[in-house]
Order: sequence, then structure tokens, then C-alpha cells
Amino acid sequence: MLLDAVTYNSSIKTSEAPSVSELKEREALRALQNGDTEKFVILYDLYMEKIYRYLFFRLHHKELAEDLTSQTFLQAYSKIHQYDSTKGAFGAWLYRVARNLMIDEIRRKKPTDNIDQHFDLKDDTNIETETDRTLNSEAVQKLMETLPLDARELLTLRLWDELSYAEIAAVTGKNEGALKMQFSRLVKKLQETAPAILLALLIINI
Amino acid sequence: MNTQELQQLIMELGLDPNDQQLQKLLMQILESKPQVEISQGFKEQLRTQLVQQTTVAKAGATNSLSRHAEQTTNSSSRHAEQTTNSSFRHAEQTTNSSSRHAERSEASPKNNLLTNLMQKIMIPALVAVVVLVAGGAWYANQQNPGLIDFGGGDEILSGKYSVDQLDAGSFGDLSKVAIVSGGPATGMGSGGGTNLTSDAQKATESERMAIAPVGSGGGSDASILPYPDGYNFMYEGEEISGLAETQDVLKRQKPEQSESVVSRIIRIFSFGLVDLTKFTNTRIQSFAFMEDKDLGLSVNIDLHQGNIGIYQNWEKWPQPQYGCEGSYCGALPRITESDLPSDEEALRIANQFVSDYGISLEGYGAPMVYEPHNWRIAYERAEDKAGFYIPETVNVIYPIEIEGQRVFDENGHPTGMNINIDARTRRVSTMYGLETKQFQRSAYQGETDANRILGIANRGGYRNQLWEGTNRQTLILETPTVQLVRIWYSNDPTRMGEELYVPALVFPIRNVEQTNYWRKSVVVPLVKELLDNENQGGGPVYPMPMPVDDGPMPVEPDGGIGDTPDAPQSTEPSAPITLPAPRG
Repeated sequence: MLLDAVTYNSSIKTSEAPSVSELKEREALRALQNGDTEKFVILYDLYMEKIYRYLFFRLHHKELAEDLTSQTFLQAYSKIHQYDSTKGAFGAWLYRVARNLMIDEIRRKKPTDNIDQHFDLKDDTNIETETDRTLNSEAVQKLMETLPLDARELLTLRLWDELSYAEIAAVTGKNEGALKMQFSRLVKKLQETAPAILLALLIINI
Repeated sequence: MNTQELQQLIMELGLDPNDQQLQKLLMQILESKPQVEISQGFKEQLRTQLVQQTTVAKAGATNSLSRHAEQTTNSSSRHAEQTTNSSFRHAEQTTNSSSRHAERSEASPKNNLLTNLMQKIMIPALVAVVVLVAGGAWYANQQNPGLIDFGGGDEILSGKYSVDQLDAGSFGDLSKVAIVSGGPATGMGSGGGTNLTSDAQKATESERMAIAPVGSGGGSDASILPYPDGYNFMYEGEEISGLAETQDVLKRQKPEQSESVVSRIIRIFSFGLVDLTKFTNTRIQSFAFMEDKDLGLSVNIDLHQGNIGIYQNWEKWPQPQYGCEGSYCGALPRITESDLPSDEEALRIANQFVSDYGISLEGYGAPMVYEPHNWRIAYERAEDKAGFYIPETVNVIYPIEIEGQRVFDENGHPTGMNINIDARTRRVSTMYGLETKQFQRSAYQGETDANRILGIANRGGYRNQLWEGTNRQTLILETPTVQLVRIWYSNDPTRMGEELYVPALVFPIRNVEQTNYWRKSVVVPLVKELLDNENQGGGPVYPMPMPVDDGPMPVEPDGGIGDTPDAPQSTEPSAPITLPAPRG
């Protein structure tokens, strides 16, 4: 049995009430709106680990992920007045701040290259030698490298960052429906090609 | 992402959620997610940096506000009504137009209920207190300059969750301490209020063998349900394995009052009736105030235990049974099931209350409508529904959740902050169980013997006492989850009990709705010393005065001594005869 399961399912009546995280976020945003700047820390507590993971999954570099996480929150705080809740959730806005900073960082390091080629810094930047960790499965890593970059990003945002399609749409600026369709096609394609690729990699490794 | 979520994801894509190959592939991708270890040092450092920045910004705003206070108009109500559906102004731009901000900036405690209550309920009272305190301060300073220091600013009832790590076994030998039945009422103050708390430890098993219709109204149909005289417990879940060898136990720290403003204030209240300054080493135990208006609230702040309770001011609320004795008198029409707020409405009202009074939700999980004593079971089976007494409140609980684990009481009910919604007025009539959440953590040896755990579960859980009887019902226990159970213990009978949060297996009772049983799950702590504890029945063991009669003295289920000659005998090892446990 799974002893670490935390879900408790009994006859307790529940309903579609906002989660505590949502309540806290609303409370913090409302307080910020009223000038209580100290409540920004609540948002930090809610999102710090998510943003760090988001950056680390793509950079595979601890110090760089930390640096960009710091920049993300400091910039988000200084520009909180630019956040417009009518245009999307705070989380998506924060991810966009992180994503833009990451892209800026890549551009700074490789100003002449197409940004899309370096979305995952691990591949071919000088940071590669300092990479802390690779994917847990080398085979899956190779498999993902066979994917187009936008597909790889979609896959990781959905599966690793566990963002909803709406959130991914807000982060990437793409259409939610199109993303869902793209993801569906991507999974079907993987279903067809992955076994062969994984098997081939396994044979090579042997 | 677990298997169920994965299947949901596949289903969303219009693919076969039971496709094993697809599941395996996606699971491989999921499992290849890089391991992330976030440096706690970095996390704390960045947090501190942000706190400093936000504090500086707020201080800047405050100074600006002070300068412009006279020029501002009272726009606090406008601020209160604003929602997040608009663009933010820059933090530094918020320095305009709010006298409420100016008031808030004078109160040093942040983000705590007390501050918000001060702002929203007590403004008129605050003025009076300020006058009194200022006068008293002036007087005291004349007598003893420097005695009053209003610059302390310590948060006594902080809303923050924190844990201090201690060495293993720091809370003493838990096999020797006295396990106390129940703890101090959380936030139950002089304001009264009905205690529908899930902390039902105070009830004895015999009192709660079955759910009886709530209230004393006529027309109860308890006889519809056959009352068993005992229960059997039978585990039918999955095999239990992988029990950890060590378990982290948390102990809640009670607030500490230093010689700060709150403890010194007492010295200025010397009005001639008694010279309060003669008392030494004084601490504020609790204080209360009330709203003197229709549907007003009263508030009890327990600085000793670290909790806050809010109740209806009884004099200002309609009392349907006022002046009646025994049965319902008909001063107000009896409410019906349709008069009760729906779950959605109850949750909305509770959340609004939380928001309005700035109640910190740190350490609490998602709210839910929860009734420890489910009157609906009896109601559904009642023939005379019109004569059935329906409770006038709906209870919403914000269960305590610490690092992803829900906290239960020993009786298997989730425990936390409870908010009662009055069905007639659709207003919050009671809030209790709001506590500080500063903890210490210490490791203890875990119980790894699954058979022992199951043996206790099949007796109805930790400290449960079985009763002999012929008309017994069988309760089926399902696969447990690891949660936390709140247990009170006492090392010293002269002092209040301490509060532990202990990892425990919580076994949901599958067929509870088909029975009269009053609990919904069974709890077994995972700390070996607690299971070995020899004083589980109540307070510490004292030598008893020699009884005149050599006959057996009946022992109540909570370990106390009763005079109920027909009290059933426990099948547990005989509990020592004890004095009632100390309660804080």
C-alpha cells in the first residue's frame, strides 16, 4: 500500500470550494492591492518552489536556477502594479516573468543564435559542463531530444510542471485549444515511435 | 502525478485511459523528471530579502501616509470593496488616500487576527483604550519613568507556521507520560457558544456509542435505529508494509509573553479597588470584548493557550429557546432542512468571514462542511420529520494540515478551525479552534509491527475501549493513510497538558453511514512509545485514599472515577485509577 498517500476519502462532505492556496493567493493579492506590500511574501511561499522547478527543469543548473528564481520574484515584486488579474492568473503571469528572464539569459550568453535552439541550455552552452543533474532516465532524455522544441516544452509544462492547458496558454501565449490538440497529437506520436526508440537506446547502452 | 491523475490526463486527450503501454510510457517520462533539491538556505535567504524589501516599502508608504494623513479622505470602505479584478497600483503608489492604512501602520502586529479585529470591530473601543492606556502610561511614567514601553511589537499570536528542530526524544519518554483525554477548549471563552468541536475526546465512549438526534426537541426518532451495545472492528484494507523506523513528532509551543507591552499594561490599570501593581511576574491570560450591537460578536483571546474564539453576543442575537424549559417553546418557528444553507453557501459565508477578519489560513487545509454528529442519518429515517429537531447551525471546518498531512483527533475526526453558520441569519455565529502554529519537532522510534497496529485498529483505535455486548455491529476499516493525530499529554500534573501532533494511520470506516457509530475513522499513532504508554487512561497515577468499601470502584471510559454502577467493563488492560486529568 502507499503509506505516503495523503488523500483522505471518507464520508466527509466536500464541495467545489476554493483551495487554501487559492484563498491565500486572493488574500495576498487583495492586500497588495490595498498597499500591504508585506503580503507579497505569501505569494513567494506559494510559488517559489514551482518557479524554481520550472527553471531547473529547463536549465539543469542549480546556481542559474537560483539566480533566475531570485530575479523572477524581485522583478515580480517591483512590477506587481503591472499585473492585471483580468488578463489571467497571477501564477501564469509569474511563470511568464520567469520564462522571459530565462530567454534573456540565454540571449545574453548566445546573442547570435536562434533562441529556440537554446531553450534547453543543457544541450550546447558552456553551462553544460556545470550541469548538476540530468534526467533520471537517459533513454527518456534521448527520446525527448528527438522532439521539436515547442513539443518538448509542452510536454514538460504539462507533465513535470503539472500546469493546466489554460496555464500553459497563459505562459506561452498560445491558444488553449490548440495546445490541447498539440499535446494529444504529441502523445499519439510518442505512442507510435517511443517503443522503438527506447528499445534502440537500450540495445545501444547494452 | 499518480495513476488516477495520469488516467485523467489520458482521458482528456480522448485516448484510452486503460492503455497500459501508454500509461507506462507517460509514467516513464514522469519518472524521468529531474530530481530537484531546493536549498533551504537559498529559499530562506531570498525570502528574507523580499521581506526586507516589502517592509521598507511599507514603511515608506506609512511615513508618506502620516505626512498626508490630514489631507486624505476616508476611502477605507472603497478599499474594502475593491476586488482583485483590477490592475494593481504600484506598491509605492499606494501611499495615497487611505486613512485606514494610516491606522493600520500604527499597529505593529501584522497579518494576525488580533490586528484585524482591532481594525474592524474595535475602533470605538480602541479609542477608549488608547485614552486609558495613554493616561495610565502618563501616570505610570510619573511614578516610574520608562516603565511603559510601547515599542515592543512582538507578535504574541502570530499566524505563521514554523517548526524548530530538536534532538530525538526531546519531549520525554512518551511511554511514561500521562495521556490526557482531550485538551483545553480551543478558543472557547466567556462568550459561550456551542462546542460542536471535532475534538470530541471529552465525551465518553458510552455517551457516544451511537448518534442520537441532536438537541432536546421533541419527536426524536432514535428508536428507528437499533442501538447496538457494542461494535466490532474488522480491517479489510490492503496489506500494511513499509512502516518507518523513526517518526517525527511535533509539539505545539504555547505563546511566550516577555516583559513586553501586553504584560505591562496590567500595571497601569489600578483604579483604587485593588493595587494591581502588587502582583508580580504577571502575564495576560486572556481577554475578551464584544460588539454591543444587533448580531454583534464577542471575542475571546487566550494568550496563554494561543488561540482565539469568536462567538455570537448572546444578548444581541435572537434566541429561539429563550425562556423555555426543556422543550422547544415556539418563540421562533422551527427551522426545516430547506432553511439550512447549502454546502456551497456555507463555505462561501465562512470564506467571506475569514477574508473579512483577516484570519490567517497558514497551516489549514481546504474548508469543508463537516458534522461530527451526523443528524441527517436519523433524520432520513425519521417518520415525523416535521417534529425532528434540526440543528440551527452548519459547521464548516478548516482542518489543520501540516506539510500535506491532515490532523485528526483521537476519535478520527479532522480537527482545526471551525466556523458555525447560523441558519436563520446566514451569519457566522461561532468560530473556534484558531490557534498559533509554532512547533518543535523531535524524532521518535516508529512502530514497525503492522500486526500490532492492526490489532489496535481492530479494537477501535488508540485508547478506545471495547464494550461487552450481545447486539454488536461490525465496522469495516479500509486501507489507512498516514496523517497526524493530536494528542495531549502531561508530564506534570500541576501544569497544563502539552499538545503533540503524532504521525498516525487513519483508517476510514467504510460502512459508518449504515450504522449509528459516531466516528468516521479509527486512528492508531505510529510512535512506539505512545503505544507502549502505561498511562493511557487519563491523568498521572496518584495513590488513592483507602476506600471505605472494598468493592470495585467503577472506572469511567476516560479514566475518571464515576458513580455509575452499571458502567461496562473495559476489555483493555485495566486502567489505573486516576484523578481527573489536568486541563489547561
